[in-house]
Amino acid sequence: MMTLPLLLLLRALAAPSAPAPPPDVRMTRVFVEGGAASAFIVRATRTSPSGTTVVTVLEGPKKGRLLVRRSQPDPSTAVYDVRLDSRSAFTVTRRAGEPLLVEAAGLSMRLFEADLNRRTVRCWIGLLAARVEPALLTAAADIRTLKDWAGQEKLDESFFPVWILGHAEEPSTLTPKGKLRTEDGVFKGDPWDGLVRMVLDELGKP
Amino acid sequence: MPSAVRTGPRVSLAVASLFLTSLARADGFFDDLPRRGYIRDDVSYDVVRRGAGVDRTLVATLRYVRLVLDPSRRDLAGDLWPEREMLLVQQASGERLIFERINKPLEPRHPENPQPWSRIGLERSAVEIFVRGSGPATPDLSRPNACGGSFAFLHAGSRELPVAPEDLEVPTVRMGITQFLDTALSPSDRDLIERSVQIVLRASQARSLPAGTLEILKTLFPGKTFAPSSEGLTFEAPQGKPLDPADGSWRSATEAPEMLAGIPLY
Repeated sequence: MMTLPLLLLLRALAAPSAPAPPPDVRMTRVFVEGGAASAFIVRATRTSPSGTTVVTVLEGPKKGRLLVRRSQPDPSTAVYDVRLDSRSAFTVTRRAGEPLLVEAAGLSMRLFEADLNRRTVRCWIGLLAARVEPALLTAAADIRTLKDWAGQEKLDESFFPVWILGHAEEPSTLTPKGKLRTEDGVFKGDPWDGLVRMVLDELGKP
Repeated sequence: MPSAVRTGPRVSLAVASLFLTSLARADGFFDDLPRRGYIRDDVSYDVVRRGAGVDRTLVATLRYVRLVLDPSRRDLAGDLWPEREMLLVQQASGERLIFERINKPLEPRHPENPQPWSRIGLERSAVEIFVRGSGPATPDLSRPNACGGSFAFLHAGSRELPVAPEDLEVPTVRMGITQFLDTALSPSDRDLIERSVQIVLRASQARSLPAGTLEILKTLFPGKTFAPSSEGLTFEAPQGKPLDPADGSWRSATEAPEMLAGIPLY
C-alpha cells in the first residue's frame, strides 16, 4: 500500500507547476532639473509563497553601486542587506520579538531598535560598518540626503539598513542644489542593462 | 551574504569578536603614568574567619595604597599631581587581583586620546577603562564621527568597546558590555572578582577601607548589586609582610611603581 507522503510526492511531480510570475522591474532616473542624470535606480520585486524579496540597485554619479536587498525567509523574519559595489554586506535581521541582529564582515551585534539614538549604539554601528567599508556610511548619508532633496518623507522599508547606518551620523558628500526630479520608465543601454542584470541576478539568489 | 536565518551559537561566536581588534589601543594603561609615587595612604589587613569552635582561618590579605605620582615637572603644583590607588587582594588560595584607579591624570599628549582611569588586573587577564572627556571636539580620525565626544573605552587584550557614560542603563549597551566581559574574563576570573569585592565591601564597612577603586564595577557590571560578604569576618593587622606589587608574583597583575615614603622636595 502506498503511503500518504509518497502519494503526495508523486502528485507533486505529476502536476504541472505553475510558472513563477516574472519579477516586477522598475527603473527610475533621478536628475536635477535642467541637468544630467544624477542617479539611476533599478528595483525588482519577486513574490513567492514565503514572502516578498525586493532588490534595489542605485548607481550614483561617481559610478559606485549601492545594492539593497530585503528578503523574508519566514513570515516572522525579514533580512536586509546593503552592500557597496561587490564588497561584503552589512546585514540586518529583524525577527519578531527579538532585538535586531546586525552583521558585517563576519562580526555581529544585537541591538534594540529603541536604543538606536543612543550615542554608544550609534558609535557601535559606525564601527561595525567601517569594518566592512567606511564608504558605506557616506553612501548611506548620501541616500538620506537624496531622500530629503526629493522631498520624500521616509525611505522605502527595504532601505531599513540604510536608515540604521544613518545613525552613525557620517556627513553626506551631496550638496542639494536645484530641484530634484525623478522619471520612471523603461530605459535601455548603459548603465541600465547592467543594473537590470544585477538586480535579477541578486533576486535569483536564495 | 546569503540571507539565511542565523542560529544562536553562530551569533554568539560572532558577537564575541565584534569588539574591534583593529581599534585596540596601542598604548598600555601605564605608558603615560609617572613611574614613581609618594605613599599617602597605606593600609593592610588579614581577613580572618573566626567563630564558635572555629580556629582563626585566613580568608584573604588586603592592601590599599594611595600614591601621589611624581610627574617630574616642577611647574605643576603638588595638589595637581596624579594619584594612583591600588587595592591588592590575595585570597588564601593564592589567587590575586588588583583594583586600580587613577585620579587627576595628566593632560594627554593629544586631546582626543583617552586617558587611563581604572582597571582590574588578574594574573592572566585585565579589564581596563580609559576615558575621554567632553573637552573641545577634536577630530578622532581612528573612529567614526559617532564615536566623538566623551566616552569610556573598555579594554581587554586586543579588544576595545566604547561606551558613552550616560548609556549604562541602555539595554543594548548592557548586552554589549556583558558579551564583551564574557570574552574577556573566564568564569573563574568573574568568581574571583565577586568574592574579592564582597570582602572589600565588608572591609570598607568594618574598617573604613577606601573602596573608591570599586567604582569601575558600575561600568563593567551596570545594574548589578554587589553585597558585602555575609560571613563572620574580622580584619586584623597582617601577620606577614604587606602585599608588595613589586613582588615577582604580582608582576602579571599590575605594573608596580616605585613607592617612596615621605613627601617630595621642591
